[in-house]
Amino acid sequence: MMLNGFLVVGALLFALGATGVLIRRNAIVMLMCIELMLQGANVTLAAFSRYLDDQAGFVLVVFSLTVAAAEVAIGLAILVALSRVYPVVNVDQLDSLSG
Amino acid sequence: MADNLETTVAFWYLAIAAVGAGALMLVARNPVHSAISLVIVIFHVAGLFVILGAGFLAVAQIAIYAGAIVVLFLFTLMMLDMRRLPNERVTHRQIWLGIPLGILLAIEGVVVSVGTPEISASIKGTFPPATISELGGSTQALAVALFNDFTLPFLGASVLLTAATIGAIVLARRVESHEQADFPQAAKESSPVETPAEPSSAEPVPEESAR
Repeated sequence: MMLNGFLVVGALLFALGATGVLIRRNAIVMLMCIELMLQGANVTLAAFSRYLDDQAGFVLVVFSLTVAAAEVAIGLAILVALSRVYPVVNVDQLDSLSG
Repeated sequence: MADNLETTVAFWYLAIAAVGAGALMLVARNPVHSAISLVIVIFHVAGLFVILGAGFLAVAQIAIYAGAIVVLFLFTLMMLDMRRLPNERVTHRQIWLGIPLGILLAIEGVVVSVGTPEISASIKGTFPPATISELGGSTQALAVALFNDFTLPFLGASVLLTAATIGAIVLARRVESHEQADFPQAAKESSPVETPAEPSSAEPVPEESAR
């Protein structure tokens, strides 16, 4: 059955994105990995929507696109503002709140 | 969309290419290469949406993700001037914990996905293929669902986008005196980077409004 195939792709994309957030040091690449996780969630939503004969999953993908756009705009604006004060994007060096 | 041969072949190609490009994104040393891998993932996921019979989502995915989000990533990479940044290692020291946790998550997801049972007819929704073709296509069906059942969330999404645009403008604005009062030595350190960043500080705003 095709549904399981789509769910596996979604799960693998989500796991890859989560691994990237865990292992990468560059804050911009970490934001990209969050986008990868959202892609995995989108595949799962669309697959369930198709095989359940329901449009709600497709509509949720539209909202997911909207939230991803807003999240990237704010995340990158925070990085630009941060880079004026501390010119690094390596998250290991951004530890001034850890005391 | 029946499970015929062409669909199956297209599905396997798109699935393998999407996951492969996602893996490339993790191992690329240069963030620009990661961004290009993200574009490849996005195009192949759009292909998966086409197989699922959601053509509008595929186009929206390419327009919003590849057209706006990845371009915003590339603009930020350009503004932050990666050559000035130390780039000797791309991963944390915690990689030996992160990779096993990621593999565990992948195994868990695959096991749950493969174990998902067949969908019985009793839990199917109100948009079978007959209804969709009666409405005129998948885009019309999506519009019927979006503007009837999800009107309030749709309006909420517009508020969210407005708030995000205003927030990005406020965050990306330069506040000279405030910065230097709060972080005197850090502002001095960052002064070589500030000069190339300054002319492009107005860049993100048209990016956002274009979306």
